[in-house]
Amino acid sequence: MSVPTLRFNEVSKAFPGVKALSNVSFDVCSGEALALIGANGAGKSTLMNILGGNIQPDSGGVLIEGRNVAISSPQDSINNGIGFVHQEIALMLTMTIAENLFINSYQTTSIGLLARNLMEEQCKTVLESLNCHLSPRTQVKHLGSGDQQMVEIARALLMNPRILILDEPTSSLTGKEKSRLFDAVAVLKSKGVAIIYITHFLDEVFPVCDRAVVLRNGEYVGGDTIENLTYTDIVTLMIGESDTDVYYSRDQHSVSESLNLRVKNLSRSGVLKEIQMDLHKGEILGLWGLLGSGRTEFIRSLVGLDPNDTYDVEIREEKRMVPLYKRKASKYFGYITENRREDGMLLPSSILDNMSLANLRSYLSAGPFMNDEKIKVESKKYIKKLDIKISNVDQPAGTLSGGNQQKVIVGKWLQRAPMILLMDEPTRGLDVGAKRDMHQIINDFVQSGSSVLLVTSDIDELMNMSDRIAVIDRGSITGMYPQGVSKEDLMAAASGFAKGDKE
Amino acid sequence: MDRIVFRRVSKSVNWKKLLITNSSVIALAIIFCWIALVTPGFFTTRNIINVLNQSAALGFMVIGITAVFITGGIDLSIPSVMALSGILAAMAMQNGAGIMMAVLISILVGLFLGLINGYAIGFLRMIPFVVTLSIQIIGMGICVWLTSKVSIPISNGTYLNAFSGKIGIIPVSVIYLAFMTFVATVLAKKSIWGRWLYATGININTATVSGIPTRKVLLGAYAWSGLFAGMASLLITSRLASASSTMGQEGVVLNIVSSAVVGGVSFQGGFGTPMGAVLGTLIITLISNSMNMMQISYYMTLIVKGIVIITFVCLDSIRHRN
Repeated sequence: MSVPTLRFNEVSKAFPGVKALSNVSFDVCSGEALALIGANGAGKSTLMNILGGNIQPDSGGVLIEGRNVAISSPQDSINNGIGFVHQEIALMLTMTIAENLFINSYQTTSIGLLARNLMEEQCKTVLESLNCHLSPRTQVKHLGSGDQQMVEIARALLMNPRILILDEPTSSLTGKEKSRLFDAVAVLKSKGVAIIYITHFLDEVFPVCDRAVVLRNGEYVGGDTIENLTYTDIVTLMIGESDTDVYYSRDQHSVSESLNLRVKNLSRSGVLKEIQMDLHKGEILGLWGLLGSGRTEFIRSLVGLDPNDTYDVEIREEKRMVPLYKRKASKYFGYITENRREDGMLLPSSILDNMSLANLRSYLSAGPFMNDEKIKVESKKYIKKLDIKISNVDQPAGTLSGGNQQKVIVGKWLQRAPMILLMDEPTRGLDVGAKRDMHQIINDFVQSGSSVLLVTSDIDELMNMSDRIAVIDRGSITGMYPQGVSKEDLMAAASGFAKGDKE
Repeated sequence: MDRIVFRRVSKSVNWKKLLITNSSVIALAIIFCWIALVTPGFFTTRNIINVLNQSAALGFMVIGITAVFITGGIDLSIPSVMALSGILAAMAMQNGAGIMMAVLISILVGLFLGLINGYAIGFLRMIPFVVTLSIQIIGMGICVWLTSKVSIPISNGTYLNAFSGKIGIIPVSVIYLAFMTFVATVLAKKSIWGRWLYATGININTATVSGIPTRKVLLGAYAWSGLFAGMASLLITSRLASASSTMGQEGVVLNIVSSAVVGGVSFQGGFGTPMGAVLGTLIITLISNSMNMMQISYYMTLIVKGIVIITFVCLDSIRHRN
């Protein structure tokens, strides 16, 4: 076998109090896609930051084509032929594709003007090589997220990298866009690029990657060619236990006949069309829809964050259903948003401040003054109950791992004990262990007679967790299915085939 | 071996953190020492009391703007709100109104203009810079129109005594400032409004999703700022024994904003305390006072103030990076 394109050699890195990487070694070869897998905090990011020149290893190093290289800055990384496609799409929306591609390497003509034609020509060549037929003059804001992802990859390719890192490249893509991305990966492999593919979605690993490497707690715990691995193998390596039952299975008997919520008509011109839906006591109702189907908009409208044209909703008050006024909606709903960092948390604030945020009024002692002791006692109760791993309650929430951050958000709402908890992608970006904890928490929560509306893109999670599944497509509910419905039916309903009245 | 290294690291981090979080206190100490050494006659009781007295009115306005800064906004209307409050109160007293009426007018005018700012920013989602700049200009126009640029004398002895008198050697204005700093600190630290204010400033989306009435929080912050501008007018008009439109010139904003920034109140929202802001006020006043005593030109004073502001904004962004 020839010399590997990239080799990590005994890489170690410690941060104060944490050993982020210890003696990690593995290879990536030309023309191969290597899946780098690990739970949150396994050391993937640290390793990639070393490769990107953002951090220096304490010991060990990186070999490129057999030569030891020092990567002490992002520029070194580029010079060594390493290209990154980051998880978040970072493009200038009002600029054209070509302008975005050449954002840090504008080409100029002999008199110093921009060589627009030359750049557009090169841009087109790169895009064509990805089987992506877009005009270089298109403004990026007009592209779907799939095409934007292609532009990101094209930008990385412009440097002719020998090594390309794709960090969670599908997290914002729909099914069709994903398969285009996979095609592009195949093209790159055929050109001899060595690819490191980082993902949480294990089902992507099998069709895309040739080999997989698993990290756990900063250590290399296993790796093999994909043919020799199964889903169970990988999960076992990731969590280090033999118990791989990721999903909590629902207890059927807990759902009551009586309602907590009845949505009679929720409409918003151009976004939501006469949405109707019942939510029973103790029920987990799954809401299934593709990106842009209106699922997040529906939830935001329901809690009164977005405007509506019609808001005809009833809520249980004691034993009766009474009309719910939009202004009062926040009294009954807890809302876990899909963007944890953007609107879920106060990152610089303490864990206590975050956990008490939705429930401040009930912690008043006298007049407008807070009872800090009560906040501490109550929050600690939930920290314990949810098994949140913290060093102390005054720690800034931003320093926690994703799973623990999400638990803090859940703890915030559990303190409020809302009648209905709306959860938009509650397990996105969480590792297997944290996901399972979250499923357990959701199940415990509905035991008390509250309800959950669960939005998730993970179809297995949806099918395992939900008592019923509502399908939303282009702003209307296109189907309501009992537990046990097939994936095919759900996909069909979500793409508008089940309804019959195609426009 | 490992443990020793670890401990040393954590200690040096704490030290740095301590430096950064208490930058205004440290700066105040350094500036105080330096000024005390180079300024002749600085350490007279009279001068120290004078500095405190000069800080009082500015301190009120700074406590006001601190709430606005914490939301991530700005209030440029404070000078003309303050001037208008003072002018209307002085005109009322000219027409025979008593001290209670004058105080009520000052406070209500400030509160009312603050509520206009707050409504436009919180409920109509207008941009703070534009709204408060407009109110500043409008307020200035009304001031000049009401006074014809002539200052209105105040001869009500009770009024003058109540706000610029002394208890022993201590000016009452200093006592008022100390008291309001205490009230603002308690509200910021201990009240639900304080929690709402900081949460809104750190991340308004999170706050809204968590059921915090963010629009009312914004309304409240600007109303608070207006209220304190109104109260500041009491101290200023009683010290000058008159009210005039020149009290409300835009230049006052420079001192307010620089005091807040020097006091560690972040332009970016979410951080800062009333206590820090008042310390910032003392620093800014000290600089003006000592340069005045050393007979350094006004222009030089401006240059020094500008440098001080930039230094502290720089410290603020370092703090944010951490």
